[in-house]
Amino acid sequence: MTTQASLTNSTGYKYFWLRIRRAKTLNIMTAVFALLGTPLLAAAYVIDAYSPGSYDNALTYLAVTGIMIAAASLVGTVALTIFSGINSYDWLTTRGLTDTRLALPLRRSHMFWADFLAGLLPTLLCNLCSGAIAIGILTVFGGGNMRGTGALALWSNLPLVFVTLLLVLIFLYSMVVFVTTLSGTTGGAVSYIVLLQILIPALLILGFQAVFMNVPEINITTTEYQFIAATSPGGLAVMSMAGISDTETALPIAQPGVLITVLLITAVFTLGAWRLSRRRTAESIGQADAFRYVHAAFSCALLGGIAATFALFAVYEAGGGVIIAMILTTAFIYFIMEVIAQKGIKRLGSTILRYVLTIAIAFGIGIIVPKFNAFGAGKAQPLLSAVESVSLNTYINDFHIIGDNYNYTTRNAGIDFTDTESIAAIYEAHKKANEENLISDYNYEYRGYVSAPRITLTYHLKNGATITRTAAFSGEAYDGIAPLAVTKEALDQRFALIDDIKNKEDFHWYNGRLFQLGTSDMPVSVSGDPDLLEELYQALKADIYDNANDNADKYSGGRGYIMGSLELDGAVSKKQGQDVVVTSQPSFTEDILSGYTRTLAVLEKTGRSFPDINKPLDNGAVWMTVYEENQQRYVNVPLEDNSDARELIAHLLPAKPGAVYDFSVNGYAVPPEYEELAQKLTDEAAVSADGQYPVIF
Amino acid sequence: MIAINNVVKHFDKVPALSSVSLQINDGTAFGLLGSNGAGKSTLLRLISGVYRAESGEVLVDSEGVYENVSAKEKIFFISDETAQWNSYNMFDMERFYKTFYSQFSSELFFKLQKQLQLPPQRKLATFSKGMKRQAVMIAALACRPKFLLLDEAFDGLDPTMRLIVKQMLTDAMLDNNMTVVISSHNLREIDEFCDRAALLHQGKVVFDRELDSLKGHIHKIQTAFEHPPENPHSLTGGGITLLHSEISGSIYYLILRGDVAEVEQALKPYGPKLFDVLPLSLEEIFIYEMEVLGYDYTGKLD
Repeated sequence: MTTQASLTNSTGYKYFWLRIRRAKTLNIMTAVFALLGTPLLAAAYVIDAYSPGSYDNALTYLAVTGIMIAAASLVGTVALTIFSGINSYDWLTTRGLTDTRLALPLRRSHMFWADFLAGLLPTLLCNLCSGAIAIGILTVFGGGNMRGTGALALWSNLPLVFVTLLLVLIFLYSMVVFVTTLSGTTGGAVSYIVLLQILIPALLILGFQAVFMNVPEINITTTEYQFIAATSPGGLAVMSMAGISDTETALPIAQPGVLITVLLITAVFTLGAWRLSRRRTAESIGQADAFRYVHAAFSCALLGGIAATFALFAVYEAGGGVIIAMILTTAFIYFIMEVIAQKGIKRLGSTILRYVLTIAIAFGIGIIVPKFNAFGAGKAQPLLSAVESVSLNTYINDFHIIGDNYNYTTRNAGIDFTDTESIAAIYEAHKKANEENLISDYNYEYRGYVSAPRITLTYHLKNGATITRTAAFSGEAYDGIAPLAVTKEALDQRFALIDDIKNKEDFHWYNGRLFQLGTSDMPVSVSGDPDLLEELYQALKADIYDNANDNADKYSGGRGYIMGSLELDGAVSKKQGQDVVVTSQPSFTEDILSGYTRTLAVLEKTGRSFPDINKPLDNGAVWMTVYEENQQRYVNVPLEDNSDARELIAHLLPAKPGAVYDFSVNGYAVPPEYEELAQKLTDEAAVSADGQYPVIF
Repeated sequence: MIAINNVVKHFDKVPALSSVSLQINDGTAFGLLGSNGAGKSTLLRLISGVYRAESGEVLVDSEGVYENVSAKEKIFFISDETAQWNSYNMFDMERFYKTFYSQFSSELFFKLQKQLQLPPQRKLATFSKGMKRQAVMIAALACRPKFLLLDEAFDGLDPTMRLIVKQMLTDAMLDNNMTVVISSHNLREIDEFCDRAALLHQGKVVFDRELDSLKGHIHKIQTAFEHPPENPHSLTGGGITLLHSEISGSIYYLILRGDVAEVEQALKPYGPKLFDVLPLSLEEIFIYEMEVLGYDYTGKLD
């Protein structure tokens, strides 16, 4: 007779129902959390889909509140699943219960399976029902009308999403039952849950990285994501949520490898727990470990996990303050877990010794790994020949690698460079940045730069691995990559982002503003005509492509021909009954150079144009370019004896009557009486150390 | 019948039971005596199938008990803990045990519950320790087991309730030929209730006898000699063992193991002027037997 069969017609079956009845309160709570979880989440998404885009309306607040309650309920469901697993086997950790249960005329196997199912089935049933309700809500009220990437992905993957939820709960429950059979105390079981859930997967991932990083056939990143999803319930939950929020990422269980591994580990946990529960003796009650070597195995795993965390940290970044914080945190975690597992520290000396040794080893790893470039750690660069592409990302506004203020998300998205020359330029710039080894963004000055932009580079290797580095780029290193902003592939990606928005239904430009030299605080409205603004955008785009060299020059050195900048404001709207609701308002800002003939021509049509710097102004002043003290191109010139020059500078800097001035460009209209002197100063100016910049004062 | 044959059990390499052999006949009230940590509770857990013997065997009606459902259905074990019942009320308890014991009598359960006036709907968490004991005892008796194992069964019961519970147990023994195995530190209870007892010390059986026979085999003698022995221990020998001696003036108080006639014969050479055999309680027997084994209060206080 099989176990299942015996359960249907035996004391075990009656015991199962007894246990279900005993867990009445727990089951009611499970039902409440399940009903407040996925159905409320689905309802919130539907409400959000029908609400206007802005946040100042009741529907949006309702949706957000619903999502928050649903998220809290899902967390509650997870917590209850853990509690249910431990509670189902309370007789493994409580002396009185052990005596009572094990003395009963019931086989241990039957008791195990009855307890297992009595703990799991209510959770599954409640979440199945709530899943069905959620699907119903989304099907009836949602579907094609839903917007937002999360909602769409949720909608398009509905069956998988709910299978994932159930699988996460089964996975988690089986893991909890497994660790409960390993420990004689509830505290021990809880500490082992944390270990199995977090630290051991971290250790395994590190090992995987170490072994397979240099194997070209294996895509490290993808495999790691799958690994995280497949080895722990929490990992599966997190990776699945990432899959839901990103329409392009498949849910992990859609991948057969992940699904099979999850099922396999769940089966191992379940069957392992069953076998262990039969082998386990009643004498182990009250002891942290029900079996020999369990504590040693978990202690090694815990310490290994801590060491792995240090080593992983070394791979990505390190800083003294953070390291100390990590030591304190991990020491705290370690001791707490030891106290929980052992019900107090029984062997304080050996516990401390173990931790100290671990930290020493971890520090060894932390120092040795970057030093010898193990795992591609620290500041080390991969081999140039192994690089397939590099993504650049920066958070510094001054560095407009992907365009001015298109929007925050886009600016942070980074540009991927695949061109060999570009990769080589980035590689060299990074190398220089590493050599200069600047730590802070501040208190650094180089040729007028007052900061060293902190730039994040991600090398995508040919074997699928990705190595991410962040470094502070000095002016010199910065100059190496700045021109890449106007390479064709960078421009293609920049405009693809903009065009992606533009190509949406109901997109239109609605405003254009011109920032002329000297009027940066007072932009001039160009036009509200969408067609004219589109013409302006197209002209600007064509000019940017045609004048790539000028643009490159703008970033790398001479700044002379910037005339101003243009900001175009767009809107994406949708019809909501009789109303038109704006859902996003992208804007696009770009400098205008003197060579942008198409743009300038369209601006002429709008009645807006830049003053011609080659012609005298109305007040008789003439244009010249100088370099000012607080600008990026600060030039230091010794002209102590030239009182005329000093007079000119004294005239220019404080007052600048009639001068055209811009924060980033230093064009000044020089009064006629100083024209000759200004010209002379420009002509005879010393040249900066790198030979590029005239030196005036 | 319960047969325990050469059972060995260790906890973390510390011996709990060393080759213990006992036989408990049907229908008897068997007392398990012993110091703390002697192995009494371990033995009860082995009999009830909670523990498994490392070697030797525990047989209930000639069947091994560990993981044997039919053997276990004949046994009910009441451990010394009651906290596990805190979330139950009397109805829950009845429902629980009814599931496992085919002989369970709900009628008897509620009859006893009414007799002992235990509130049926209140959680046991609100009961006193003695009330919890009563509740578990009711459940045990309602299961009508052939063997009832009680670990510190009378602990927490007031004197009146002790009498009532003892009467309930006696009734069950008479009605169902139930065998009761009691482990207790309260030797008076064992003395009054049991007809046989075994003394365990450091995992070994010191003695296993009928109580009447036990009392007939150990004697407290009050005597005075014309020619006092130089050393009372010289009395040991020839089937007599001196367990304890006290001298007060010319009066000797001797605790001797052996036949009374043999004792009298052994003292004759010393010219006893006085020879009184005083009654000996089980408690005194326990103390003097344990003293011989080196477990005495003077040693403990040292």
